[in-house]
Amino acid sequence: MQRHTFNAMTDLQRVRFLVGNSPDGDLGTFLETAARLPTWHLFDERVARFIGAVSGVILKNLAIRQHPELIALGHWFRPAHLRSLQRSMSMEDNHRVRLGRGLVFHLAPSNVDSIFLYSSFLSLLAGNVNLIRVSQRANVQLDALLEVLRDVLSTPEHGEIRSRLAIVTYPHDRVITELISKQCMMRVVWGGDSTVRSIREIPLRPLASELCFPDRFSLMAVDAAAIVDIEEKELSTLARRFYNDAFWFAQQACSSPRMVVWVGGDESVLAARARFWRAVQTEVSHRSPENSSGMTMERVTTAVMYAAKGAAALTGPIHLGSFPLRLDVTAAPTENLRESHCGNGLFLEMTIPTLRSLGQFLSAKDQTLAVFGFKRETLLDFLAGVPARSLDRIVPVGDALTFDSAWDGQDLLTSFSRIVTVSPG
Amino acid sequence: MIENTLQSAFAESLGIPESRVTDELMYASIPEWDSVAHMALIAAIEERFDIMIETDDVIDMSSFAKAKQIVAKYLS
Repeated sequence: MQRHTFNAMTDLQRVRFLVGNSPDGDLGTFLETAARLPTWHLFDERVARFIGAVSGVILKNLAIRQHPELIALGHWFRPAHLRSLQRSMSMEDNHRVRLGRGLVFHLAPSNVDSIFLYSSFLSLLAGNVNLIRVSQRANVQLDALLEVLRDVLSTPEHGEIRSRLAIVTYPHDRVITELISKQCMMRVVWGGDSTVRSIREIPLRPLASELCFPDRFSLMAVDAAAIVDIEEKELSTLARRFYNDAFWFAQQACSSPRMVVWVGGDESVLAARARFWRAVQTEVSHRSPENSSGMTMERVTTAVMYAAKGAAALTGPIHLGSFPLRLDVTAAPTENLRESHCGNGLFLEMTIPTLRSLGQFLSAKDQTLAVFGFKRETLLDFLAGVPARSLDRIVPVGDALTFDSAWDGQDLLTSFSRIVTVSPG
Repeated sequence: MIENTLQSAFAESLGIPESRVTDELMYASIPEWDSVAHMALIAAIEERFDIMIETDDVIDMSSFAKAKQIVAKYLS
């Protein structure tokens, strides 16, 4: 017992507060205080003002322009958009109010995917007190954001937010995660399947709930005939939008398209592919995305593995040194094969006669389908034939990474809050 | 009136002097006005005029002249 207490003490000291009000960075004190704080109403003015201020600082600081994903975050949380979100959530019901759930424990992923920040801010907007654990790995974007948050929080105007938003880091440590899990009312887990699995083993309070965002796979479907027909200018716009989807975050985000599905007859697919990839190549040479030797190594290794398994083969003039590297699928692209995809500018390509026939290859793993050239009715008809739980988003090419307050099939503001019935009597 | 306010929103978000903000200023014609700066620009315009710009108009705002037309539409 003595020994256990001693260990727990040392463990707690390994928690470092990067943002937040906790004196001496003491987790115990933070948890105790957090449990006593009242939950606020959805879109409480104090939170809206704080988030608006953070957005303003991000958008006005020219030095932050080198981090496009932070600008996107600032843009998404701009006051005008917050007001429109608020309107979409307003309930015309006198007997119900929406409040936060209490302390929400967010476990951020270790990769560069910044989506978890959107979810943490939405949880704050939902009225919750938030403890966010970020990876110990150095990350320039995160550091830039932490600096903005510390700056805004240091002003007296936002003093009340200081105790509702703590960002911490600690080495992987089950004891600490258990301690926080015991106190929180909601746990939000971002990460690989194995991380999600091991966190899920750690018990929560009986009333607490959990949201998990494990690894997903995303793809793109193109109506070949639509590409053959478009003008050169439209084609380069499409290439630019595809570039944003596939090359940001080195194709590592859950929503980054990793497989390109061509829909149509052989002849039009042949013509469309040639046109499309020529435009993409031009875009890539203009924008010179990150392509380190490590990325090249991973891409080539994965391609060789696919070839060895008879799953995919090099396309026409493409060779292993090509970037992007394209492979033709030569066998059904099983979930297992798709999971081995490494991102980094590698594209599996497949040709099918109709969009409807894509359904048989999908599984619960699949999150976003970026599309070009399909009518709404075609998409709805296709959706009716996909397996349970597959596909949470069908969006135009160019919007794959655009955050939406509905993520992985959940309306986050709804999930982060609770309804309280208030009927006067 | 719209013109002056819009000019200063452009200058501030793109980090260029107001004298360079003319009707001829086009999206992507200068390095300062790229897709990233465009997001900051939209937020700045919304703030100055207290409006919410729809996605179609965000894409449509391809020059300073066009921006004046779009903002005028929201204010009318």
